[in-house]
Amino acid sequence: MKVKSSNRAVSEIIGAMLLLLIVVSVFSLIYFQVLSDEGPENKTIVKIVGRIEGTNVILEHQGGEPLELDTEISITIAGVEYSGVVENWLNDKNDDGAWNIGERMLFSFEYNLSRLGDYQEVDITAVDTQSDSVIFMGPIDLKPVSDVGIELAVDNLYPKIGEHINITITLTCYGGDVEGAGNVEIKYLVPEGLIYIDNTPTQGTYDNETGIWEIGNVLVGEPAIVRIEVKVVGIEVRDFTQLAMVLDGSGSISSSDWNLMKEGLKQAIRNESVFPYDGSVELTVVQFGGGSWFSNPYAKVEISPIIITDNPIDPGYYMVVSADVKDIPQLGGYTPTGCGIRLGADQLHDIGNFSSDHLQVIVLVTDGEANCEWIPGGYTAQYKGETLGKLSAEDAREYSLTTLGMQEDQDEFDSLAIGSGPDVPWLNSSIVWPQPGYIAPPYTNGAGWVNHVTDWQEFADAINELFKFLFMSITIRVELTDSTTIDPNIENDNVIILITPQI
Amino acid sequence: MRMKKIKNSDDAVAGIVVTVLLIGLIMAVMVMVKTVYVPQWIEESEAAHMEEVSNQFAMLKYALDIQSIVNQSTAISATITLGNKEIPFFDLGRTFDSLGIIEDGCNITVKNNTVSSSYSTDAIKYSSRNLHFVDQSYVYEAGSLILSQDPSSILHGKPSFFVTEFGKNLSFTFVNISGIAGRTSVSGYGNYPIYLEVANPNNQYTEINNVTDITIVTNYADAWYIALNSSLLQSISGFEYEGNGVGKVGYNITSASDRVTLEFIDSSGDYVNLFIREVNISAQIAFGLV
Repeated sequence: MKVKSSNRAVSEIIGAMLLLLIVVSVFSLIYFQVLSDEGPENKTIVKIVGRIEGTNVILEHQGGEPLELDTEISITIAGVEYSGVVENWLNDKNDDGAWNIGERMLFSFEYNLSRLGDYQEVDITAVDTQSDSVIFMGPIDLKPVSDVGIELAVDNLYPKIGEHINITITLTCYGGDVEGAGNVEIKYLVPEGLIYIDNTPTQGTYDNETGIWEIGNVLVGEPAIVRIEVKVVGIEVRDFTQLAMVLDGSGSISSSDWNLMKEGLKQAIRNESVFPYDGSVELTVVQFGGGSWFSNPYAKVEISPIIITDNPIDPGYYMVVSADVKDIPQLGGYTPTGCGIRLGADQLHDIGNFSSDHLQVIVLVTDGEANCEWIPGGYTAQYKGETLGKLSAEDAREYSLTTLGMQEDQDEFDSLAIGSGPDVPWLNSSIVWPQPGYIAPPYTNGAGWVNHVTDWQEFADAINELFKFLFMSITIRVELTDSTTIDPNIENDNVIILITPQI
Repeated sequence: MRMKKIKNSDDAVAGIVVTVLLIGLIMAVMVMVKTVYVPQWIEESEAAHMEEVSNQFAMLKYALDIQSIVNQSTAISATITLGNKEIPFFDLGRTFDSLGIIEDGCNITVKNNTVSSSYSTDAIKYSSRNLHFVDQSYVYEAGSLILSQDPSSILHGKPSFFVTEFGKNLSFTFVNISGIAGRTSVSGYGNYPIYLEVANPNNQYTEINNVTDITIVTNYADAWYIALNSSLLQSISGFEYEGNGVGKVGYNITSASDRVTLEFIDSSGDYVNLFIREVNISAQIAFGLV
């Protein structure tokens, strides 16, 4: 057999080898691509919460995976960036070398008072270096806290018409997050009854047209003071006032003392230097008392709401009304204070010229403690002793505030307490309004006072003083209106003083 | 007969190699997805489930807070989701969690100079059994919502404990949960309702005067430390942390592994008045036949 030589398979072998080479190369490339994949983006699942406490930036771990101490933190405050690892600022409570649940990072900083406007927010970024992932990012608002207080002094609280007086306003910074207060602005508008003359500030400028004193920054220990000189001219136009006198006519008041009270009230109404007759005052008089074994204590209207004038043909002619006051018979009996308060409030609201824009003033005159519980549906009560009687009076006071929609900046509930009988602390804390109440005179804190006089002999002077305060006094009100720092204590941001011009 | 000639040929070699390589590639991809991607997907899914439980416990606290103030017999159900759903296709990652009402989980003792008053409540506790994400527990006890995770715990919702009079009076609404025997625990996967019913509603506060110490025995001391301190530390509270009791009532909080003690310091001897109101609520994990 002849063996035939041929090289035909060579090309097939080479072809197959080339095909294999191509296949292996292609798959190698694919394998390399697939196997070199680093997997999904590594994430650190953790909750970090950021906040500001005082002058500290706090980041707190609130659950999730623990973080390494090389977690990078970047904090930018007022344009300055601070960078570092969390280890620098972390309180690692359990010393486990990790930032764990409940552990806080605390970065302290200080405000620069001269650049307080730049401290609007803190920008924070935290990056977990293990996963190279951002675990916290965001701005946190900065609210620097610093307490400021206003003090007000007047060199003469009882000036004569035409006199000049000096009003001194002092603004003090007591500190806080910052050793001062930024861009402070307070307002004192010269009220009706006074004429602006001049001002002398230790810093900033006072504009008597707007009443704004732009002080600027006030440092701790360096109070800002302005002295404002004014001329006293007295009030010519008054806001309309609804006045309810709620009188205690209970049996603990002797008939002679009752007469002293009536005579004092009559003379005060007839005193034109304390009681205006220009139609700006509506007077209501209510008496509470009465009751026996056979009848309930109650309250009754003695003078229905009537506008007091000096026109003899008016029903509210002051001579007629004051004479009517002198004729009020005493009820005697118990002390249903709550009934009197409710009746007074209802008279102002339902019978009088009620408007929420008008001023409403209720004055409770009493010589003893409330001892009756109001019976719903009228103005009668039952004797229940002092504990329930006081609760009933407190309810009635709340009723009057609600019924009349009384507003703290214009309306008031005051009390004239006579002798040793009344519970003055209770009147001060639970009846007069706005709260907190105070003991007057002097009536320097405005509304919500108790005037405690020792006996009925002093009633005439007290009621004159009261009317003078209510109708003739001028309110000086100073308030903090602006500051770039937050004041945590607002109680000393508003100050009121009343001056009572003498004719 | 004609014999068929078997002919040698390597035509299929490349096809076989391609097939082998394709199978290898697919297996490599599968292995990589299972070992690298799936665990992370499961971890993310478990973290999302923890968020869901967190929201559900927030709703549970909200419901209990409402029940505490309405002063009426009310019944509310709150649902908790146990277990994490598996990853589709791979069928991996299903977990099974537990929910229980722990008897006497929290005890509070209030002391003054003469007497000691104690209050005890059960705790509602959820515990996860995660495969990849850190295990967490959500606990509601005595009005507090607590997140616990090894090695500590934090306060997630404050109890009704606050200052009612500057530096003098404190108010505490103590929500007393009582688990109904036999219906206090469940473990598994799915949604489980907790049925909460107010027992003997009342709005009466018990006044305890001259309180010197309040001790809370709990497994979550870190969280209760925060609860007490956050109420008293505010500048408007009128109390002074580590104060000497002159001018302002001072206070100290000491913490151990199983208790937190709030101690008041007052040189005048008046200390503080605590007005405590106990709201009794029966709880049961109610599912299936009840």
